[in-house]
Amino acid sequence: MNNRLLHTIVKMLLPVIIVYGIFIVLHGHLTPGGGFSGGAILGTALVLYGLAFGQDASLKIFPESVSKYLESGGVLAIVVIGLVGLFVGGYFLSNAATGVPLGTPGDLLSGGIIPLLMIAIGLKVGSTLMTLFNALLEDE
Amino acid sequence: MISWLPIVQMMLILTIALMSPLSKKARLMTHLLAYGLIANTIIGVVLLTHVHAVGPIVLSLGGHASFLGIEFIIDSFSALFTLFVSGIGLLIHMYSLGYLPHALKESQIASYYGLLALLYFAVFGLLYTNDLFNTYVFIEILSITTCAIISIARKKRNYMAAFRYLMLNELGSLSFLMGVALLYMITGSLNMTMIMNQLSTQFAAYPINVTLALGFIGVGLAMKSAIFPFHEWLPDAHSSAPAPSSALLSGVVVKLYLLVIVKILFRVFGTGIAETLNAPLVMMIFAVVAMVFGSLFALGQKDIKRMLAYSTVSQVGYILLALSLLSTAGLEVMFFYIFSHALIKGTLFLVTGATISHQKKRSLESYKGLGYLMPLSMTAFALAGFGMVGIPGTSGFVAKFQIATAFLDVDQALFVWVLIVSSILNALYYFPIIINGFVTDNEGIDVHLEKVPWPMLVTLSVFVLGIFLLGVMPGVIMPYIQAAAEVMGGVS
Repeated sequence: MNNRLLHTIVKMLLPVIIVYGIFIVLHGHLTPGGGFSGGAILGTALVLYGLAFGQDASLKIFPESVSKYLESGGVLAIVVIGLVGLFVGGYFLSNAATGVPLGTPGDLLSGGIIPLLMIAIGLKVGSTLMTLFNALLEDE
Repeated sequence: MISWLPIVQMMLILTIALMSPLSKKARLMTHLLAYGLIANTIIGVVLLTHVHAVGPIVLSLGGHASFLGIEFIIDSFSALFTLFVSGIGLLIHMYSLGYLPHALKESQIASYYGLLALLYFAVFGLLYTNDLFNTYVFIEILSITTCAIISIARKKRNYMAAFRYLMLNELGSLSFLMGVALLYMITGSLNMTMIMNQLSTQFAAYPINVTLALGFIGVGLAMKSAIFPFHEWLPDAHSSAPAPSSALLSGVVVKLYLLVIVKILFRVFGTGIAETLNAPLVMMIFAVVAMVFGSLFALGQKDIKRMLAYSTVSQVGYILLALSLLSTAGLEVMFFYIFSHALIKGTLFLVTGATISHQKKRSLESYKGLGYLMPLSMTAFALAGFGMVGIPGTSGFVAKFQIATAFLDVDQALFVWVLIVSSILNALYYFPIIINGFVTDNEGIDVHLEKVPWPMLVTLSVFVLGIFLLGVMPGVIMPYIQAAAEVMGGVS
């Protein structure tokens, strides 16, 4: 794994991919895409890093314990947000009743709980992709 | 308040599933799932009594209107079957307490219980939901968790079985999704109630689309519920999973897809369209073929678990036969059969798990004289075998008798003969095992009661008692079954 060309290009690409992934996740309620697609892009960035620098290096910056907690935590966050909606607003995942400000439609900070859900999904999908990648490498 | 309970029920079991990646400790997951199932059973009882007294609960997730959002309907049907699943699940979980430590490694047990929790989550959702696409999503969750459970022991035969299961079931899922897409194309809606309202007028305009939709959905669900020509995956899958999950898969999960067929026929297409498209006739043919050939295949098996799995294939035929009446009376019979078969097949698979781990062999010959070595387990096996054949006094008898009378009521005596032939075939493969087990020379065999851990004994006794209770007094659950059938098929 001593390919200078590969390493340089991956290092240049990574910040762009990660920023783009975050952009897609955060604009989930405004533009096409959202938590799943954005999370997949974030996951791809990690997989790319793993492919270029080896699994050990990628496990160092993103250890399995972290992805484990992010995976369960992402879904758990959605469950908690949904239950708050249930107990406060009477419906599972009800939006305005939870007290998260709805904002002006079209703004980045709008949509009530939807951006929060998108972030949770993004974390979950990204870390799951990493877990799958690691699992595939290990089972050999 | 009470309308929160179904959501709490599902989120509880989902949260338990989420704990499994975090903890590799088998003890913690075992306890969590046990408490979760106990809580779910209690909630199930509360919901069932509530819907009986007050009427169905309609939940819309997120508070959206029904054409936008997802609806859950909790009525006598879904409440009854969620209670049934959590009750059976709780009993099987008790059995697993004593059984699994011998069959799986510690870290595997933790993830096994996590998968099981996810499976219950999908089952509850499948029963509650009133949305076709949501049904598809829950079917996928159910298929994928089942696939993982089949391959959990990480042996070569498990991988083969899981791969076959995955390929055929994905085909079924896609076929189902195709049908849903066709329906969406015609009606512009995914809500079952709204589709049904639309279809009553749209059927005349788009007969081919509706026919195709019913065909795709029917084939997809037939694949998943292992109706005869689509059963190829079932014997491998159910015989290679750990015993408690074989009991769950054969006793409960296969039946769930049949319940989805019920929902599709009665709540989406409506009996009128289904009859115009000859669905009853098609189902009858498939059912009869399954009843006879499932039993014939079972007769040819040398491996006990494969034999039981083929027996499930033939029992699915009975259940489909009852459904093919497309009437409230037929549904009553069908629901009773599902209960009865879950108890009987559950017992048989659980006992088989114990005998296999005792004998280290899966062949039918290893049952010779086993009645002296493992009297308790073999007695349970024999009693459940009687139930399967339909000896009077067992729930199997009542279930088969009800099917026969239901068909005599509509003047189709032919099916009674099929029923009798299939029962005789059942007897032909269950009785030799029982006779070999007990009526044999016991010289040189040390006769004693085997040591069965108490949770396993409790589960087996409850199952066997249940078989006889339903056989002697079917009236205990009949009011609930009638209510469930009426909410589906209308008052007869």
